[in-house]
Amino acid sequence: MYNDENLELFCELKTRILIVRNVMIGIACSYILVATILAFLPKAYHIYRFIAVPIGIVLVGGLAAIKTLPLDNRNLKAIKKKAQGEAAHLAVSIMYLDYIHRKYMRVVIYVILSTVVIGLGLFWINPNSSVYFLSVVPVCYCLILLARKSFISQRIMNGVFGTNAREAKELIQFIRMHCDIFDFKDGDGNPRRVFLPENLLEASEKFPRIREVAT
Amino acid sequence: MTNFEERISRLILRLIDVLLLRNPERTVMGVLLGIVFAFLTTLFHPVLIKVELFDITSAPKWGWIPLGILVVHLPMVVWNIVHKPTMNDEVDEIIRLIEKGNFTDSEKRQMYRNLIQQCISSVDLKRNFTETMQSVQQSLRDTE
Repeated sequence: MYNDENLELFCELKTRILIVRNVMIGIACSYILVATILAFLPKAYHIYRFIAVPIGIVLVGGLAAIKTLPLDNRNLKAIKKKAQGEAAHLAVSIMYLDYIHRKYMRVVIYVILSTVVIGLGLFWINPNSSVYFLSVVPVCYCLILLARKSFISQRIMNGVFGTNAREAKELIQFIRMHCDIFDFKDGDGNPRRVFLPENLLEASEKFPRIREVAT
Repeated sequence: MTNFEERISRLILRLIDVLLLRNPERTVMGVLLGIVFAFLTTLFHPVLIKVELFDITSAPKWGWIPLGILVVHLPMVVWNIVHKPTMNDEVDEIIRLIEKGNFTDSEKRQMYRNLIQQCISSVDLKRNFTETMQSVQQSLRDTE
């Protein structure tokens, strides 16, 4: 799960692992270097390897460790920025899903209730006519609408929604038209954590993408 | 979700969008309006049959559904002509460049993600700007 504490811990661990790895590489390199140099020297000088090897280890290992640090700091910032960006993307997608869910459900309830009333009315006017079968059409359209919602939901849960031109336009349009509902900053100015609605929390157990990225 | 599943779901969504004319809830409401028209013509059949100028009652009942859809979509068409579009030229241009450019699928996905993140941050900046403006205005009122 993404949150600031976990991310920093992860980055710190990654930095330490990288330092240890680079020190190990440094030791190996210095040993090979000293062994190669000593191979060309007369046997009388072999006594100096006891001094040369620790100096080589300190020099090469130390240099490798120093070189790793700024790189990892940059890496940490990049990872953090990427994770925050992904969380914001997912948050907007979830808000979009919530928005279309409410909108579609309103339409579906309204259409089904009206269709039932109209169907009964048509049947009442002329029971022998096949006109009341027209009522099946809105119901079919409602099913298509719900199918669309479920496909969008699946794509959002797997983190692929908004990765093609049409969906990107749809999301950008949503962001622009509803920019008043967005607030990604907490009171202290830090990025706000994303809280999933209850029904999505259940879904997040099934879909690893949400579990990894959002909190 | 594998790459294949992703493509299939994208294709199905595109098909659904074509079927729902890219404005799903409006189209469904249009279908309902068509049914309402059909219901009204059936209900007022005895009255409408007396009208000699035009014969509405002989029109096929299914024909009311496209009419309902057309009526519901008309305000949207007018709105699009009168108002400024929500998408600006810059975003359209970027999307066009991404589509036309020689990029792999994964690169395109990453670019679309970046574009959306940029839009989110621009909205955030706008909000911050508004808040700052409001606080400045408030402080000016306080000093007055």
